[in-house]
Amino acid sequence: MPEVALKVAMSCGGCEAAVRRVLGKLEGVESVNVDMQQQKVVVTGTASPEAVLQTVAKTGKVAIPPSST
Amino acid sequence: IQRKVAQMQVRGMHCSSCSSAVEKALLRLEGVHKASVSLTMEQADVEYDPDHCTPAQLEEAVTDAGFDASLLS
Repeated sequence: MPEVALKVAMSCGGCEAAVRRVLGKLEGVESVNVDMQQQKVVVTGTASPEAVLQTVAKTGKVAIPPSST
Repeated sequence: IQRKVAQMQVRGMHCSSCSSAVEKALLRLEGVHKASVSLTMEQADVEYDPDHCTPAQLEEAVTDAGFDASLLS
């Protein structure tokens, strides 16, 4: 199952819940894993990195696209 | 330009960055002039131009931001 990792600026539990909720609604998302310490979100599922990035961007939070290394 | 004010209940905000995220999401909408979000009252007052956007779009912008929105007036 492909994964998309994204650095997202989240400062509290409410922000984490918001990111989880919008990604949960995105088609093709199997599971959403949020790491508050590293401010990182890992999305497993068939959703494309662009779709994941756009969805998080709509929450108004700063999201750094997945490093293409 | 016409100005109307919509009041919305916004649930799920925990900190000031949540309320600023909601404000940012609303201000991004075409036709929204002003958006003031109160964290303590869990409410958003949005001044918008009814020719350019509808209250439903305001609600959708807030739900897209990951919060629950319900129109008050």
